[in-house]
Amino acid sequence: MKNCIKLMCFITLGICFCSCVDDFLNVKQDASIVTPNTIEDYNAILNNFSYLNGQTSHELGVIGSDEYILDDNAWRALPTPYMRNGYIWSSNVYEGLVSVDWNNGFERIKVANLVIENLEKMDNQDKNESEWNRIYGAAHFLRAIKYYELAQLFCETFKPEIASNQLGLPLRTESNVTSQYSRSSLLETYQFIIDDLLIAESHLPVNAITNLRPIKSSVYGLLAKTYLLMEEYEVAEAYANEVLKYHTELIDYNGIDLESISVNSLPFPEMGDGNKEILYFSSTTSLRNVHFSTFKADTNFLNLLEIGDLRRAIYFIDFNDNIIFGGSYTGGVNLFSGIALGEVYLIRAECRIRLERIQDGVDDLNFLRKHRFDHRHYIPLQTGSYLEAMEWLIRERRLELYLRGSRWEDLKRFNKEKQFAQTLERIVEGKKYTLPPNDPKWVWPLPDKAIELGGYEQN
Amino acid sequence: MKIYLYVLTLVFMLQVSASIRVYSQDKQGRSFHVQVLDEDTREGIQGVTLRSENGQIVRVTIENGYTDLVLGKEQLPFIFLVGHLGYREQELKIDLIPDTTLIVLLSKADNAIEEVVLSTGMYSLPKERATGSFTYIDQKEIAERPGMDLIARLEGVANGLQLVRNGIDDSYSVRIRGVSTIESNESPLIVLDGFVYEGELAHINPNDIQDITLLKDAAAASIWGARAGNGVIVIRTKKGHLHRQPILSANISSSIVDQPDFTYNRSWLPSREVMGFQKEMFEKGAYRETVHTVLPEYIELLIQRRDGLISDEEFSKKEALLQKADVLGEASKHLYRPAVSNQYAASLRGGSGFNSYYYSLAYHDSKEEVIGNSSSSILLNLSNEFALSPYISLSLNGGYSRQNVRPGGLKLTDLAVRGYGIQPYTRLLDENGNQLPFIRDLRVSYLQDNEQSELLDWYLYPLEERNLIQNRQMESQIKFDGKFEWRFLKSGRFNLLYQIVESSGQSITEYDKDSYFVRDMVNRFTQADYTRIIPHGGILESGTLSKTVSQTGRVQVNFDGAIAQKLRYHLYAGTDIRERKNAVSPSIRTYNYSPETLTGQRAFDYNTWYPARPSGSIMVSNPHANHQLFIDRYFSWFGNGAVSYEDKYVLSSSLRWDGSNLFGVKANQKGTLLASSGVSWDISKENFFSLDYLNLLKARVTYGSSGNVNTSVSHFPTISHTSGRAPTFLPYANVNSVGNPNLKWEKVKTLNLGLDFSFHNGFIRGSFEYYLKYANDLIGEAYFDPTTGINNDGLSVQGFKINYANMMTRGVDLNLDISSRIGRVSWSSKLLFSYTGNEITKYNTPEISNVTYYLNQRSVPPKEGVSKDIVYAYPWYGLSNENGLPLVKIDGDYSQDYTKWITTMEYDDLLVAGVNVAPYFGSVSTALSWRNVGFHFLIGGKFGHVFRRQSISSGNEYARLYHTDYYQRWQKPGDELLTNVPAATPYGVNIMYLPSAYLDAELLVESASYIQLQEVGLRYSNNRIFGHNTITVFASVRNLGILWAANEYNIHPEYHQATYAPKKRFNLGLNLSF
Repeated sequence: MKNCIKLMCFITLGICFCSCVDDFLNVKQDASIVTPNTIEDYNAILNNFSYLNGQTSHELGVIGSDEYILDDNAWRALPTPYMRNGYIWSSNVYEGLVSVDWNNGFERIKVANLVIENLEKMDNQDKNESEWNRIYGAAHFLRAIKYYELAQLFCETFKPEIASNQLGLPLRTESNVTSQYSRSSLLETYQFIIDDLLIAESHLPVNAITNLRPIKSSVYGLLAKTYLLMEEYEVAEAYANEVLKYHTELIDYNGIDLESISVNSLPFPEMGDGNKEILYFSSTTSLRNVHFSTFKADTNFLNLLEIGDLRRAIYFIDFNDNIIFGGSYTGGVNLFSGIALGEVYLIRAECRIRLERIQDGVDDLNFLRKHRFDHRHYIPLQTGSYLEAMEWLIRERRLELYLRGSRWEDLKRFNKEKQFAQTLERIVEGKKYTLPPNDPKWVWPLPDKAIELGGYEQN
Repeated sequence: MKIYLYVLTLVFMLQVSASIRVYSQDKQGRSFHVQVLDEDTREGIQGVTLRSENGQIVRVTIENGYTDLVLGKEQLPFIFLVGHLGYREQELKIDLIPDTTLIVLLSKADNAIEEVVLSTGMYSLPKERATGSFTYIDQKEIAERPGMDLIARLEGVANGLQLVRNGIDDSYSVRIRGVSTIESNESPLIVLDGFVYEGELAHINPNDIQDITLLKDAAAASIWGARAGNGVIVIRTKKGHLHRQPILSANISSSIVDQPDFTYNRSWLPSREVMGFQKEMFEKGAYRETVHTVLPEYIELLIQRRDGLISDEEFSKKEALLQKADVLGEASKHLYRPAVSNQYAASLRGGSGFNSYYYSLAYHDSKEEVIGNSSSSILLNLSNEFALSPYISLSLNGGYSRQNVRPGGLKLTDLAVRGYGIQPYTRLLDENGNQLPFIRDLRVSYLQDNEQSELLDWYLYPLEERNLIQNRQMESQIKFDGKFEWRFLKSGRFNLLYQIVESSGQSITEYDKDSYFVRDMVNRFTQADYTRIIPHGGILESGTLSKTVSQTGRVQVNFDGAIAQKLRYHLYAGTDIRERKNAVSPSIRTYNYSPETLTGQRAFDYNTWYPARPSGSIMVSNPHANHQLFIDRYFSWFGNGAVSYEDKYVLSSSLRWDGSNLFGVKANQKGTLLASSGVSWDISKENFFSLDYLNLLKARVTYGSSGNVNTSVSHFPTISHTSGRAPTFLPYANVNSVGNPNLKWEKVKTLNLGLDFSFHNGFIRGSFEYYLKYANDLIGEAYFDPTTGINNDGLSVQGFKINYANMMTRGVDLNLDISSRIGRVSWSSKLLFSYTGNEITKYNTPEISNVTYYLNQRSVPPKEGVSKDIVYAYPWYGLSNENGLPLVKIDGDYSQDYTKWITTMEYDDLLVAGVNVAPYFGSVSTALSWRNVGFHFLIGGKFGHVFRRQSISSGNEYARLYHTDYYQRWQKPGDELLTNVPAATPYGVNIMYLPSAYLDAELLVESASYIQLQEVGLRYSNNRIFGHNTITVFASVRNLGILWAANEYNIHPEYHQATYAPKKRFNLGLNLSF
């Protein structure tokens, strides 16, 4: 019996010993590996702006939209299949290769998840409260904006009445690459985006040292965009108003020296540095379809620009017998794809028009137009008609948001309404291709590898 | 550390004297020794039982047949029964207490069977009660093979163990029962005296080894848990025993290996031929002549003639001299020699009533076949056990070993001219025996021009250089372990174990100031005005210093007993904690080093680019500053139980949980639970069983799992910090890997079916085993759904590996022993035969657009449905009648468009030529003995695998790829009927994929099957020469040559790419014990 008691003691000791095991086994195997574990490390991860704010998932949207035309030679010279196939909305877009948009989006979602899960694991005493909040908020914002971008390409446009049955995206919430997720509904996807944005809103500061970092207004701007898509115009307007509480100042294009604009001296500062309209800076890759070397401005589009619209002179530069686009807020060949104040005014204008406060909406449009027009030629719009106001709005969106990656989602969105629906047309090698409203090709297919290895339902 | 060692030694020495004193006091009392010897061989028999008249076991003899007895006068006369399996039982009557040792001679029973006690490292068990698969090798097989490393001594001796050689040299990997991993370590776990051993095997003195047990299946190995997936090699060293007169044993042995024979290498053409190619290339302007870039000697000669610097006559004379020259002969004469290694070992073992000890000291030195390469080592082992009370014992063991390797010799490959390889006409000495400069790095004319300058002499004399560079690689290891045992109740034992092993290794090279290395460096840094950046002095290079400290602690409780005589049980449980820390500090170079004053210089401007000679710019190489630290930690608990009923039915089972810091973040993934169980049934002990000639028939079944570790992957996310960029200039970090929180052990499930049998009183006995291993969760490169954020065309980013692959291995091990005895001649033969095959059952092979990837000789990509060891080949269609180049078939038509053929080839078009690791292997060994003289031989064979024979690479003669098949090449139409060696293409004609269309064709895949006479030996042993001292003399020869090989080219399949085949090794040894 005595021995049994001794044995019990040993076992108890053993169990105590076991509880220390977790600490014992938590040591890094190779000490020279830099494993992120401090606030500074996570901050540094999110400071990788050229990576996280670059290469946004907008390529397929730009490729498929009606903002440019290619001649046959330029079309044939495009380096990868999706660029050619996307242009004519072919059903086999990737030809077995990757989708750059899908990959880039989910790569960044992985980084956001890594930061979020590790920040949540940190002990309280390690938290530098304001830094922790800012980084935690920024990671949520990053995840939200990536899901927003991906949803525009790989999901149908949001239809409130059937959204719970529309296919959404796989909502990955951990960086663990071995976890599997299936596609959510579109409603869940948008709800996920909104949830992330609300967390971001409560943690982000009002101001940041650079527009490469998200702030509260970036969140409001994206919330306004999201609710606009979801046809919740009151909420969208409310968030637009939130932005406009802090930021109201548009760039007056009259102040830009038109003479100095050339290919080597683009009108807007590089990386949006100091551009006060930018609420959150991000950019696409230098997409070949709209690159300097390939680009030909569509004369139909140029004709939309009225006399006195400074955007004609600021956005478009004569270059080697071509008219190329130089008006990107990135100040370079990459397209600006972030959130800028002009769009917020357009969102509020649309909400107001749709909520039958047409004059308020038109006022917003006029406020924006005033900053874009030569003062000598500026004539304010005037109408009381819903349809006319909407048409102006749609046209103004097309001009103001030219080559910002949002045309594709606008086309999809307006296709829901018969009076605004549009059929796109391309002519390549003498053959005519069309993309009528409600064609399933408005939704880009998921990449083949994702279907094969992730087992997702294809669009 | 040294002081610590010194104190330790002192303590141990005190113990010896103390124990001897205690012993002699005992002797005057009632205690005396008994030694039981074999009547014929006069060798001590271990494990003999001394039973009293009522059958109770009183004593069991230990090694060399010793035991002790304590008798009181009142007990006399005392009668014993002395018996051992395989010997006739004898009655012994003691009338008087003997003064010295009492010798008992036992005569062998016909067809003796030796009793074997197996060790799993955690506990020992008699073979009868084992359910798992074990291979037992006793010390004799290990001790008498000097000069070889420990594992190589097991080849052909241990069932199921195979050495897989790389075909190039003597290095090998070990496989026990095939392979069950794809990307991780294949080698078995080594356990030394109950502790996991990760040091160099050279630190173990072979003379200290008691026995080696291989644990092959799950029931045997699973007690070593998650690292036992590749099998376990358990090594036990000798220990002292209580009540035992000190025995001093001394051992001297030597081995000599023949000098290498370079004629074995067929990837070679003689000077005349090579000069022919060089002349042709020279005439076609292939050699770019610059002021300083080195050119081969013959080219220089051709240039001299062209430029009119030498007469045609002189040219012809010099050309003839070169044509006659043979660098292989030069190398054999000046660079190589027979390798000799000597081993001297002594040991002392004994014990009193209070303590026992085993001390040994060994010194090894060897001179390798390369002149200048040598090594020496000293090994000290001190082990002590104290019986503190009848219930408590304590053992303390220490060891120290130090190895000095001098690898500074000059090899044939060191005679390569920069950019041009080895020239077959290179000469080291001229006709008069004077050393010739070897033009290696710079053009001879450039060196001549500099002769008059202030630069240092810039010539390299290889034979002299060999003596001016001293390179030493030192490695030392110090080991200490202690074991505390407390015996409680009747059957319980409580053990506490601790071990610390500290080892360090460093390579130090000293370059004399007159060495070419120093002169060359000084000259390269000498500025235009002849100022020197690097001083002309010695250079001391202290290589990276690696220090490893491993610590292990274990608590274990054992219960061993019987209930009602029939039901025996053995249960134990414990916990084990282990840490291995490896710190590496960077190498340091000291310039202007003087070995006399031990001073040097390190203050240099490491950031300036200096103009360099002969051209360009150069920096003093920056000292490394990066230290490294690796920490491996393991924690486990384990339990094991075995129950046997009437020795007929045995049921065993084990459970082990292993955790490690190498694995996943999620707590449940840090560790893994591994279980095994097994049953055995001795059918021959059943009453219904009555076959007279069948003495033993035992069936065994086990099933369980063990694991394997891969330390090259991490579960941690990793980032790298970078300084910032415009516009913010904020420092940022890249995420290199998000890590894999699900990373876990590879798991190997093994099913083992075994049958042990014995016929005709042990005339034939053996075992037959079948096993099936399923390896799951193997680590491999994987495809990822791009949605995970990992993408590289669907294939994982390099280095991102996860546990997902599976493979299956199955095989058979057969072991047959035949022994017989006619009069004084005893004969025993052992036949080992194994089959093992593997198949990858799950693996995501990347989509490979080009099939050449599968022909990569170094690493063939794993592929589902085929063996890991697969060899692919292109189909062969013969040579063209027109140009003698290989024919290929594109869409059914013969063609010679190799590029189109190979680039359009699909995986399914490749031929599976076989596997490169033998699926069948085995050995036959026979030992004959008559009185004191023994003779043995060992024949080994491997079958069923293939190798790729080397041959000419058409057109690449001009790229210095030579092969003697060149003489068999196609030269004129019609030759294609006689030869398969393609024509040589002329200089300048490079046909893509032409060489591989031949070299990678099925034609060159040869069967690697062979039978080899591995060893022949003689042995003489006598213990009656000087009193009862024992003398043993042995002599043996290894690698006697191939008896049969499937290939017709005289190629040793294990060395098919080597520059020379293994040479005969002659061993000689003498062993004395007093």
